[in-house]
Amino acid sequence: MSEKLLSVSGLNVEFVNKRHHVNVIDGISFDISAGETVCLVGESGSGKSVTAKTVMRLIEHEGGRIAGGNLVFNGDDLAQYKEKAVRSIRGDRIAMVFQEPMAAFDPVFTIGKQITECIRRHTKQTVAQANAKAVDLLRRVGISEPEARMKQYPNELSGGMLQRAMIAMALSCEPDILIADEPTTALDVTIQAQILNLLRELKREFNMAVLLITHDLGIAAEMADRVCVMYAGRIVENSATEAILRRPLHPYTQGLLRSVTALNHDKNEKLYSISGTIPALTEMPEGCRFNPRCPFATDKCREAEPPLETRALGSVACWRTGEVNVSSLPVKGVDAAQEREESAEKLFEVRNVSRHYVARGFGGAKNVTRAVDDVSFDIIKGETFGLVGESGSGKSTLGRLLLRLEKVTSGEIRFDGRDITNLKSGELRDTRRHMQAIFQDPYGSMDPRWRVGKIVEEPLRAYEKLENSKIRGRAAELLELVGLDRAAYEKFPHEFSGGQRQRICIARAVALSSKFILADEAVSALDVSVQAQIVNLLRELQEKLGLTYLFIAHSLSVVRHVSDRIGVMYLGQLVEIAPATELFSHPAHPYTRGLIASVPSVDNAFAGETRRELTPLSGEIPSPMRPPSGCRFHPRCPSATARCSEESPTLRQCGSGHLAACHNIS
Amino acid sequence: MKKLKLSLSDALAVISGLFIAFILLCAIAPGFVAPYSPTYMNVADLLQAPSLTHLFGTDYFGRDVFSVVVYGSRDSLIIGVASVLTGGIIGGILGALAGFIGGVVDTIFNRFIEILMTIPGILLALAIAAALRPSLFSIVLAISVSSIPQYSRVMRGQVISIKNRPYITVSNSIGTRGAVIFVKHVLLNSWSPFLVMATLGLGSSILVASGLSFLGLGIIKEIPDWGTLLSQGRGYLVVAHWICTFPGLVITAFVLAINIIGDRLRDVIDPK
Repeated sequence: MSEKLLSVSGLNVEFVNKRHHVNVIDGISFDISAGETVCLVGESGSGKSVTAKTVMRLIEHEGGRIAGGNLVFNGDDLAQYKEKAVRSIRGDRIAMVFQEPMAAFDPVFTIGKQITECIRRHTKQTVAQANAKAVDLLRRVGISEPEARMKQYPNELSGGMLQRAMIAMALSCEPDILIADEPTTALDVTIQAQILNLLRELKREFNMAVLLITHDLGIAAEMADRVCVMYAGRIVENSATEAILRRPLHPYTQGLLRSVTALNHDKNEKLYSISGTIPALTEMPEGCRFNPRCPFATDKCREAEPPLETRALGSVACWRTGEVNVSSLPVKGVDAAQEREESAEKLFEVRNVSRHYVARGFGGAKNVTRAVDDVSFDIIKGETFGLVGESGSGKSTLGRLLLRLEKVTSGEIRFDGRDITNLKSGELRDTRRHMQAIFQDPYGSMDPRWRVGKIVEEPLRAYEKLENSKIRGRAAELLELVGLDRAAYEKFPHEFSGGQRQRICIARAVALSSKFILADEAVSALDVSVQAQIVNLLRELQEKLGLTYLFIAHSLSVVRHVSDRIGVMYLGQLVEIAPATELFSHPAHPYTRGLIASVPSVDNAFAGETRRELTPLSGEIPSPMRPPSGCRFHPRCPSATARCSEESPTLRQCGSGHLAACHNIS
Repeated sequence: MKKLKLSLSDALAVISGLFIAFILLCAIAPGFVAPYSPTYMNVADLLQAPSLTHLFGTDYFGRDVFSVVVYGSRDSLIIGVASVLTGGIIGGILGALAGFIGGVVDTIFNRFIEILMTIPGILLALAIAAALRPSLFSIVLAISVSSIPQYSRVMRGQVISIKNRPYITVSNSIGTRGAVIFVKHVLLNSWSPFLVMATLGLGSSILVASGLSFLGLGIIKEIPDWGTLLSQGRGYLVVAHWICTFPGLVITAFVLAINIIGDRLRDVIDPK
């Protein structure tokens, strides 16, 4: 490798306030060379973002402080720079792309103004020159009609577009290093693939170094030359990407890799998960910080902290390097691969259901948003029906319609043989008892002023007239059922980690022994290792309690793992329904194929001779207010014909239990 | 720098608290604090400037201004607390219900509040106080009616934001009854900004009450409240400014103290 562009050594970052003195980053070191992509991966709370912000010296603005170590960039130590000197580097030599493009732009200035401001801050150019350069940059990052976009405000662009504009802004001074902090986490998988491809191209073109922060090992596998795995403020392993994926040395890396739900994972096998959660910064364990969660921890691990030692292929911080391997561990409680009895009894029958929102513009002009449009499908008792699609495809609205949290505009929904489309509130309550929901944000789903016990008891108190002691006993049982301590009863939601909170929400959802549970992005906000724990719990409860799930998620691999059948939604319509494995092995609809190809994957990244290119779908999902004519997917479809733009396809049989809505399948 | 600021605001809060406690003591046991009776007129000491014997000086009847201020605190406080309670409770409930029920109820409520808001608060209070016979009751009524819009709008906004939280959706999907959701989830989570606002309202009520008294719509009693005292001293402003100055300073200091405590309360309740 060429010479080091940025060399971080022994970096310590601390946050100090009145009561606490917290060491967030504890002596980490890594290097980046010109033209190299380094990925920092780890769970939330591991210190990835803090590291990125420290390199930019932005951490001081958030109350942090560099307590030690060096940040040598082009021979100068950034850690010693005064704020004014840092400003001349920031945005010029080192640029950053943030996770939330919507939040990173100032809403009161046009895109053009913000990009030219950055250019003119660092170079002596006239407004006209800067404008011309900004237009060039926007065109380069794949934004159509860049002149028009320059005059637009951030809220007029989609998330994917804004992220491109953000990248254009970061590139405006041709930086030596681009730091991208979870640049695609807020985006759909198809847009994510487009942005990742763009980053790769730009890196090659400008010979930039890229420091990419991600929680997604798939992204690291597709993008990185070198991967640093972070855990609780330290780097536990640092190796070339291929080496780390093929022969991970640290038990944490091994565990992370094993918890990733791959698209070719055996569905009947339980997911491996690392037990427990990442420690709070104020309660760091003695010795190796990973030891409480490590299946191989010895006394030595509990006493002394292992140093990051250089091995043949990279460096690793573990006392037992080479001796241990997580993949040899059996997964606790492997499912007996029970084939569920094929029952044809339908729990939900959804017929031609639509949900339209009408907004009146000036002069009474009607704008109809077709969030869900003419959808029909069944959910069979005891199965898990998965629903996937980009955001804006109407999957969450469909879920809310089934629970009658929203009223359908037209169509019919039958639950357990009973038409619930127009039930009055009294009758609806009787039906609601049998259907519960788990949502994406477990913390938001719980009243922050209620104790956990009371939260879990809420459904019991809503329906059953029981004595207090009985309700209390039942709540405690429920908490145990989802793997929590009985002591949780007296605590408040904020005292728990994300995964534990989701367990509480699950306990509440199963409290009434309901038949049906809607899981709307229930694991999307969780870290991979915790995600695996929750997925396992959901499946276990399904076996025990005979539940039926509607599992909505944008993560294809998780949906594939949990679902028996999957429906793919696009712009308010179901375009394909198929058994899970069939859908992934023989996707019929071009949209499904595009979605699957967009998923970054640990296994596929190094499958061929050279690293594969992601082949994303082009374009973005159109507004449901103005859906395209004919087949709604045709503007993005690689195999669209004249017929597709005129005639709307209907769902047709194309295999056993496999339906797709496309003109081009026979 | 930051550290200094913190301790400064803490010190301010402590001083404010002590001052409020002192005023409370005055209201509860004025005889304990005041050196003279508020009705004792010493004809020999008319319009004396402030001195050690008469801290705030004496007025045109020879009364000790300090003692009158101490005794007058009771009525001023009663007016403040009572009007905050009535205005706050009525406004809070109206706003909460409008926000929670939404739809037509909310629209009607909004129009009603908008009409109330087009009339300046002090003007509305004046009209009410003028229409009724001046009494403690009419002043409290006037102030509370004119303060209903601000309380109800804060409550409505808060309830609407809470109503859209995911846990309310969850409760709905569980099948918890609407009334239970309203009381146990929505109200419980909406009261904190409301409480802060009520504290601040206490100060402004006392100001409005003083204003009304000053304009001659106050209670005519032997012992004047703070506003009446100001009003009565107006005629002597040139010869004996202290009759107005000191009650005015007490009102300012008390309102300031209430505001500082209100701000601190907000910091404590909502650490954001």
